[in-house]
Amino acid sequence: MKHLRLMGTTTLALMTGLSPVLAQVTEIGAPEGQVNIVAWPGYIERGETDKAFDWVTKFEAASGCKVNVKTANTSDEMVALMNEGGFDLVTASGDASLRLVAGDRVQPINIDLIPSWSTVDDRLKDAPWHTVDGVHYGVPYMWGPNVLMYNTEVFKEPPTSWNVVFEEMTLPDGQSNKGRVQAYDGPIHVADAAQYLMFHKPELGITSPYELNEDQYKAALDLLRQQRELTSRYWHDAFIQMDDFKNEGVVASGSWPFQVNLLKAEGLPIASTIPQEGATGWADTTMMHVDAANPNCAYLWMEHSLASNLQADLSVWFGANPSVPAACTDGRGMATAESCTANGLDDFEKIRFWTTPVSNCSQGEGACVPYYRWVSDYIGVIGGR
Amino acid sequence: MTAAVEFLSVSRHFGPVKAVDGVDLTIAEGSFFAMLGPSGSGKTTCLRLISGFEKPTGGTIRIFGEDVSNTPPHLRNVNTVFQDYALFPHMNVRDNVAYGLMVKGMGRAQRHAKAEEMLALVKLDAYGDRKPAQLSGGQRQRVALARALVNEPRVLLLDEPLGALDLKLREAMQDELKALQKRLGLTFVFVTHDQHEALSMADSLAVFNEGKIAQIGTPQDIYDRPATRFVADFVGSSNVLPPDLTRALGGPAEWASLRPEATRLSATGPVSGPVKALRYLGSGTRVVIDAHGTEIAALVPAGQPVPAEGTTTAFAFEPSALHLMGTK
Amino acid sequence: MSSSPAILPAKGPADRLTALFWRHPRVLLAILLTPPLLWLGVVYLGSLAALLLQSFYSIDEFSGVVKEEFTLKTYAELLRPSNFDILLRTVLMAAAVTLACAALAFPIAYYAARYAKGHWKAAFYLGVMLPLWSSYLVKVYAWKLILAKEGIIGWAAEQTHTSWIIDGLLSIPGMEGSSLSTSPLGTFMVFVYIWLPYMILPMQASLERVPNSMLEASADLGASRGQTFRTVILPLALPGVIAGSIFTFSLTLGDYIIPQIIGNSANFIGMAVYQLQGTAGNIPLAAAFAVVPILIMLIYLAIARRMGAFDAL
Repeated sequence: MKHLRLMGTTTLALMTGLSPVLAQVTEIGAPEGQVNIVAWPGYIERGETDKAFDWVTKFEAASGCKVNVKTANTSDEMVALMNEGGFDLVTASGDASLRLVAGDRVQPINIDLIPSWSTVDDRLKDAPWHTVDGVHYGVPYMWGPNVLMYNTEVFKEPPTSWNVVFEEMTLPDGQSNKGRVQAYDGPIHVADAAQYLMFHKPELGITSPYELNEDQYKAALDLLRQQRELTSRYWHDAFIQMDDFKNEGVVASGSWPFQVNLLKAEGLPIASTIPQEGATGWADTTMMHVDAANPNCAYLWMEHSLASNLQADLSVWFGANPSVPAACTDGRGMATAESCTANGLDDFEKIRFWTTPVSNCSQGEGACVPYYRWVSDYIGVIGGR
Repeated sequence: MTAAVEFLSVSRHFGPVKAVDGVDLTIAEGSFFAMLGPSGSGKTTCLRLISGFEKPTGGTIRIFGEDVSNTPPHLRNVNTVFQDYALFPHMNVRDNVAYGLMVKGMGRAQRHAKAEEMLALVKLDAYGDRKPAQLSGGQRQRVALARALVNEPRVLLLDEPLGALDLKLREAMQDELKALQKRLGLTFVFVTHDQHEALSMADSLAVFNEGKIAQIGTPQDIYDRPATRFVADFVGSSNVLPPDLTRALGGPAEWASLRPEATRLSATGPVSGPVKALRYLGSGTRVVIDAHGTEIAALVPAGQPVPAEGTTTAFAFEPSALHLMGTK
Repeated sequence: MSSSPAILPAKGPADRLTALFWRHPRVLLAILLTPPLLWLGVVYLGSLAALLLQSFYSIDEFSGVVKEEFTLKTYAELLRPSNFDILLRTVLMAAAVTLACAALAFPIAYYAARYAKGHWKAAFYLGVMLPLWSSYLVKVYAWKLILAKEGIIGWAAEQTHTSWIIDGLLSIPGMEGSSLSTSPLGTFMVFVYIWLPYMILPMQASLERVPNSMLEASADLGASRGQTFRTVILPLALPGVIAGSIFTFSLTLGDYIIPQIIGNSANFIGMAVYQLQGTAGNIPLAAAFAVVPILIMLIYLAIARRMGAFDAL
């Protein structure tokens, strides 16, 4: 037998006393015939929604691996599905990836088996949401900023600061912003407030919006309480937010390029910007289950996922940025330098990517406020506390 | 004597259906008045016209001389004992009886005392705390009676009050109702389809047919001298003789009625026929003879010989027993 | 004379089985009841017990890991102002929705039970049931559009110069919002719309069981319409009202979709459970939140029982 089987199963690791961290695939063998992937809706398209967007059919023909996709709508659902097992890959966001690593649900990736790794954006290769102690637990897939979406009839010039959603003020059309702005209905929005404070209140000493000590956290919550006064509704569903921009007179909100692109395509006076404070963002990673039944097909898919034409098409389809910069320029897919710029490719440095806040942080053991408190306190803020 | 209830050519039409059609009626104060008729004859509608649940489409109704055509039920000083009793299942017996007093605003202690008084009258003094569901049919009937009487109505209406009771209980209640009515001196108007009940209880009665009154009078009148073939047939299971048979029996060519108990078998007679059916009644035997196509029933008292089915026999009667009803 | 036997031969297994059930009625009962009882006992009660158990655990302050030790700390956390707000908000909303549903449903149910005949009755059932046939989400999204600032209500108010009514309503403390769709008032309206059929149907069923003679008896004894309503109709319809209110109350207590789409994003119990059991991983607090509606319903049923709501059953 030429190929070596996967050695990194938990049982094997326990039997040999090895840490599963060290076990990884060393060679790609014959394809098993299928690969099972947990993915965000719209992430893996086979031309069924729109004929032009298909990056699965050709892969299946070339590799002999049938792609089975299970879509998940939240990071929690993804984690739950991976805990259940039966899947080979998952497109995990930053608020799920480290949990999967910490829970031993994913295995290290042998980047030597992925030739396209070299084409990955250097800034993403060692990103902390998939790299732990120098070990890679996945290959970057897509990333995007949480932009400030605004109505161009109200803002003739792009707003330069997030203060339009945090502070009460008179907007350029002469009316107050009260009741006309929105904010994200997830506790991770605390980080947006922290990032705003990082810029405007340096004396708080915030270095990362995801690592907040009690004082910094309290200041962020106070800012959010102020925002509650301005916000008539928080958004969590992209389509509801789009509807609110259309029918509720909402003129500014943190948002994703996805909504911006769709609203623009409908001909509405909508644009987006990344203000001076920078923005938070999300970065997704294709990660491999520790007990993946189809490791060879999984590796073939990970290699395929970095192909610049796939990255380019997905970038256009989802309004996100490719992890392979060449996708924007080499013309193999639909993306162009302009479309990438529109999706925020040039703003990488301004973006602080979502990651799950934990109590043991760079400020010390137990120094930071953990995520579960973000959840309960943000519930309180939205409830008017 | 004052009239308790008067109908002056009262009609109640439901679309094309003339449930009550031009009825004139006077019910004397203090009488026990029965409305008798088959179902659909208009007797119940008449009762509901008195209580106010139906509005007349024509004519005038007076209660003690007052025109009540525009008075809603709750302002009429009459009360009803419903066929299904309509006791309130969520109240105990005492509260059921006291209901009428409660809605008039009488205090709790006073109305409960009155209710107990009335329960004693109907011999249910120990049942005040029970729920209607815990009572027998006869007991419920008495509660319904007490509930109506406690309001001291000028007229008490009873809609088939004994219909749901078994035979023995029904007979006992008939006596009791009659006694109660005598004692209270109230006007009772009751509806029934049971001619025995009507005859045995009422001071006077009206026989209804197809929305009209066929005959009105004392039980004796109606039983002995039915005005029409319908009354004769409905009230007493009488033999109704067509004109030619009446003439064959020696009378004029008119319709006539002949009571079975006034008819006896005889060896010879002007008309004879085969015995068609025999029915043993305990106190005697009812023998049905086929007299030229008309069935004639005769009552043979117990102890007398009964002919066998199929044998030919004649029959006889006192000439005065033959009641003539005209040629129509 | 035919000489057929007194006992007919069994035609097959079905006949023999029927004979077995006739001789041992309990066998049939056991066969019919065992699967649903197993389902209820193991799946439903089992998970309920697991939920209850979880609520007595707590989450470690620093690591966020669930500590599997018995404690009442998690329940104490429910009393924290921000959490207690959620409970209060949910219960108040459920109570308001129930009262509004009862008030709206009664005349409809009364009409249907007492007056509607034939085609009108069919039209009534269709009218009440029709909304139940379409997707819950579709209805909620439709309401979002109806109530939106630039929706049909806002438009109609503007055309008729009655916007001040809506603005007035939206300035009532606790009802604030930039439009009905972002106000708790909107949440309330949509709740009432969505759950109304669940109030009408049991109410109508109970009103239909009140015989006409009962109402006539009341009038005959001198009661006005109002007195009849209070002392006869309402008590007799109470089981239906209670049954309906159990639906509207518990459905509102548990719903987490409507307040997510309509209203000002303030949490209701269901939303809090959804968020806490998710990314936060705070299963104990989520479980404690989930126990609250169960307790409230038990108290509610106890009160209803004391009021005699089940006497007529």
